[in-house]
Amino acid sequence: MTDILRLPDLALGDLELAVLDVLWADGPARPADVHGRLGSERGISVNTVASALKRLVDKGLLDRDKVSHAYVYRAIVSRSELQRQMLGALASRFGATGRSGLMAAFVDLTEEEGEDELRELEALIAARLEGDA
Amino acid sequence: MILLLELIALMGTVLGVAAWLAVSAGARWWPGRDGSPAHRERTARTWLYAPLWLPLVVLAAAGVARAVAFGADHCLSHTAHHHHLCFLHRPVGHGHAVAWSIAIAAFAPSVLVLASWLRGAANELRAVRSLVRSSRGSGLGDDVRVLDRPEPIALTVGWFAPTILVSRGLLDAASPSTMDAVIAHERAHVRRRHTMHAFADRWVASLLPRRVGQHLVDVLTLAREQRCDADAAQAVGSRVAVARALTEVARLNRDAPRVGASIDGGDLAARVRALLAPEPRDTPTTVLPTLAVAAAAFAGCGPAFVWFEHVVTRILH
Repeated sequence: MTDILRLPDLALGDLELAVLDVLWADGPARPADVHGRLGSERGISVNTVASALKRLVDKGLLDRDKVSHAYVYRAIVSRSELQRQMLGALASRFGATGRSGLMAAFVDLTEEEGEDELRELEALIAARLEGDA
Repeated sequence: MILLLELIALMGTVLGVAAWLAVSAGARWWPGRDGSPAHRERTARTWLYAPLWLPLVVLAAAGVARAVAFGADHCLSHTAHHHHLCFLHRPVGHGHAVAWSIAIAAFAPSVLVLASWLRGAANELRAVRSLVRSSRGSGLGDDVRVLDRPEPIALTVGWFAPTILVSRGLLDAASPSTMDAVIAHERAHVRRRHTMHAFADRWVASLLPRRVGQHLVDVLTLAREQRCDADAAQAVGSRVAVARALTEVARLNRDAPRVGASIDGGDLAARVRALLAPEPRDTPTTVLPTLAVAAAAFAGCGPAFVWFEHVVTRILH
């Protein structure tokens, strides 16, 4: 899947993520259905939920079809794909000059260790463990 | 008083530019490979932030020194109209637009870069919050959450209350001892507030020539990772176990699809070899800062500063 989102669009609010959670869990739904899952616990109206759904359509995360008199919304990006795009957008924001100052990874995700070098390191560790045993 | 401020602004600018030139020319020759990680981190940061701290040290040293000892004769011989830096014999008069113009011209690019960074950082911070919100609980503690990604990812995100994110792919594939090392390493990043330090370092580095700034950031990144490796080794009780965790995750990462991100974890081979070597003793970083401060104090009190002061005076007269 291509990257369709830009960094500002990836900044999702609490309600937008809650709406996505509902659609990911339950599949396509109307605003009233989503409101039925979220409205009472959050104390929000159907219109507020519908606005959040519309914003997510604008951001390219949802699609909608008109069925009878109401729109039915469905997620076109999975949770996993959304996270991939977020990671990619965050990490590539600094381009070639550096990496994000907001993240520190256990190992560099793009570091391409040569197979020979990795084997050499593994052999060094194995030898050390044998020596310690 | 205003003339003293003008003087400080102009001298600070000239000194800042001089320090920038010195760091740009000198830092690239510093290999950044010797000594303990803590020593390298301190030394790299001394280089990196020199254009900011060096002018302050020189100005303070010069102003105080001239007021209390060295400057008395010099000040009186030139009368108070002479534009020299002395906190006691302050120059009189004001209104040199050239002083402020030069200072603003020199610092405007830094301010613009900072503004651009802050705007980008605000977007980035919101996206990081979204990423954390989109993750799930892990059962490994409130500070650790899970991403639904097949790649073996473990990272720390956020500034003020950093969160550790691990991927489902890593949880499924890594051994329990590796996960212990990974989590201990990431918790060390959180405890040491490394994401916040990294952000500040990268902003300052962006003010330097790209090659020099990137070199210093690379040294700092590796040093930070090695310090967290050492913390993790202490937590799990074995440096070799952390080295094995690093190669295990690298092996998983090598076999997994790419996430399309470049998230820095430092030089893997250097980290593994450092963990297999005897633990380095933390040598106090005294040489470079001491020399720098001594040089700054000498420049502030001595003949070098007189020459420099004459340049500034010539600009103002």
